[in-house]
Amino acid sequence: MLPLEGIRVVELTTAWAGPMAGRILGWYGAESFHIESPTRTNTWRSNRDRPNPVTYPDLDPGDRPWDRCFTFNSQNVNKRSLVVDLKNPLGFSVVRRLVALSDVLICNFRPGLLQRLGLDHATLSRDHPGLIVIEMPAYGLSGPASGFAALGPTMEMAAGMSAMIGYPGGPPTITGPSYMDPIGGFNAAAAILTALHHRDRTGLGQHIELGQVEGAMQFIGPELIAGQDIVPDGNHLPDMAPHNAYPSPGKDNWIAIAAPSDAAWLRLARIIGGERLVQDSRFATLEARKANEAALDALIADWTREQDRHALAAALQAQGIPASAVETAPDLARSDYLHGRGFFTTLDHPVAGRHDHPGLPFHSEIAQGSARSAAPGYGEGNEYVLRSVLALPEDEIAAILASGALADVPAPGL
Amino acid sequence: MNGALAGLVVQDRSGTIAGQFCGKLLTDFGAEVWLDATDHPAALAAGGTGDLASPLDLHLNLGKRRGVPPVPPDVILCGPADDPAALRHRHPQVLAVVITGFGDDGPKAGWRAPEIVLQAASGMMISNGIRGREPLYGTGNRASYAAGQAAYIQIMASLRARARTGHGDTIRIDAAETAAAMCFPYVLQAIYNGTDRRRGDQDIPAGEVLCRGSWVCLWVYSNRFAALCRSLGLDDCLADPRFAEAHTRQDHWQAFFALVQARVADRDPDAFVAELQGMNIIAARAFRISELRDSAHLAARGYWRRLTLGGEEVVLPGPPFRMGLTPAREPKDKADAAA
Repeated sequence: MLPLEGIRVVELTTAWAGPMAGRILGWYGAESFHIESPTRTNTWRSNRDRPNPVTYPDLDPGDRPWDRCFTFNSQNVNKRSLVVDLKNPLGFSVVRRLVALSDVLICNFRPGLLQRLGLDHATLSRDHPGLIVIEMPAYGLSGPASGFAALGPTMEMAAGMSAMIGYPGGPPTITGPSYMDPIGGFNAAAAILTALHHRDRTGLGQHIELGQVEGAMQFIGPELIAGQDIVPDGNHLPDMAPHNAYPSPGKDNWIAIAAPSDAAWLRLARIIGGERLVQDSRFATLEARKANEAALDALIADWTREQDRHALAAALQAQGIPASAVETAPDLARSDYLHGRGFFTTLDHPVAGRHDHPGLPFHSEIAQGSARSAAPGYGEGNEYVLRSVLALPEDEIAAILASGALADVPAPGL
Repeated sequence: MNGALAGLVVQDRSGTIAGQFCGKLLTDFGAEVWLDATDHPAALAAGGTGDLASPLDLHLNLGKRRGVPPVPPDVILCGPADDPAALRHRHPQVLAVVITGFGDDGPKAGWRAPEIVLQAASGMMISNGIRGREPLYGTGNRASYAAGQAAYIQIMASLRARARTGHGDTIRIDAAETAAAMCFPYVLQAIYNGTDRRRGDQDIPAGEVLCRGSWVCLWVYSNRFAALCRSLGLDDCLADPRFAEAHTRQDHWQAFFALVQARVADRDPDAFVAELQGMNIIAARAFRISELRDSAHLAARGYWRRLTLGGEEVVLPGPPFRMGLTPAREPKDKADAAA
């Protein structure tokens, strides 16, 4: 039995952070409903600015591109999709009743949305004291910036992280397209599970506020406590040399190598240049290596340039020297390590096809989660909600469908 | 003791950033966490010097008690030499948590795993920096912190299972696998169609400009492009074929942001961000660490926690999330300073 079986989750979410939180709960067995708009499509179902063939299986958008996009399909496994117009009274009534039968409501839109909809915790908890509501706006629910819109890159800037990363003298760097979102997803899942633990003992739900920027700042807590600026210096660190990525044969191939101690450096030096390099006074101590870091990097780069990055990393690790190929997405898709961990699950999607799906990193003997179903098609769960969850009579179902409150195709132009 | 996790007893023997961060989260939300440094007294905070009240130690261990818990623990955050099977034999209901870099079996078992290695191995690093130059690792210990977060999540799930079954658990978290799970989902894209996206080809409508003393990041969706141009007096861009369509604009962002840069070099970054946000253009200032303490927004939210330790004021970051009914524990002066 999965640990969250019997828990029902409603997601008013979009893009990555909110859906990732719901995905983690679904991993553990919760029944999750991803609420979608018929007029404002989740950006992760398609890039509305520039639909790009590389986002689809076999580079083919197909007849239902919104069901084939890798972004949406990566974060919404184990869920159902309810596409409903919340401005339509019948549509709103469907969601309101679904929430009344649920345990958790997740919202990652800007502050105020739930209140405007009448789906805020204060209102809902009057009749449903066990309900857990989490709102996860970028900057929190209060304060002068609370109304600001945000995405991963701007949140990373606001959190102080980007200013710590960069080439010497260069601008702040965002990491990946959006590193902050998964931190937000993890934080939200952690918060909800904590609230469920409390509810199991007291019967009481609660409201949770997750300012995603604040949540991510936990990852640089020591730097915040020290209060001193970090001057970006590429991959270099004050207390470790070498510590960098070095070229490897092929286009844009790299290997990361680090020597956390003089002993590690001596082992590496012996492999690279034998006793002569071991005895080289320019690199004998950390202080010396830092003083001659450009020469050190050049020496190592000359050595790695002709060597396979995967084989070299394994050989160095065998000698106790930290190293790894700088892995690409295709590398990871065929990674023996990740496949050995059970990271991938093959799932059948009726529109996108049968593929391995990357998973989550949680391993347990008594509470092991899993990916059991591919991401839902747009509106795939509409009728399931009406018939199986709300158990509405046929005449009411007919009225709801006739009103146009639900959809299974985005409105034209979206 | 108040808090959602009141009554939960944890023994933190991890000696690692990941393990101690997990213990910190448990502490924040009400557990009684005992920092047991019996086997590694010099490594109270992994990677630190062991100095009492170092920033790393304060962040990870404030609020923990020191020593071995007087009652059987519910959770043990294992140290490197701990055998979870033996611990569970001694305490059948315990959740034994093992956090490693690459796992204790499989092709990379035992690999040494400083952050740069974790981020290289996870697909995180290849996305960072400028194409043609070395990829950048993300400063800090983010893979380790993420692994601590992952352990916390699994502990919460396992506690539910334990309440139902009465059984203990062995929880295993790899930092490398955790970091892979937190990367943008290019792995699924590679599986879908064989493409290999990395830094420089991420196709996002974003850029940075240097205002007066600080960088500002802008994300310009198509439906806000005209508004941005008009607000900056760049109306000519609306007729420029390089910027006429979203897909052509994407290929010429550098040229466009150079024009923006020329208009905003003297702008106050906070005022510029506020103006952009007022036009529904997503933007943020790139705060430096030292500037965050002066953030009016964080101050208005009461984000920072201040306390006195050893006669000195210490400023600590607030909790990761705010729970309405069971708020995070506020750190106390002195008595709660575990390390």
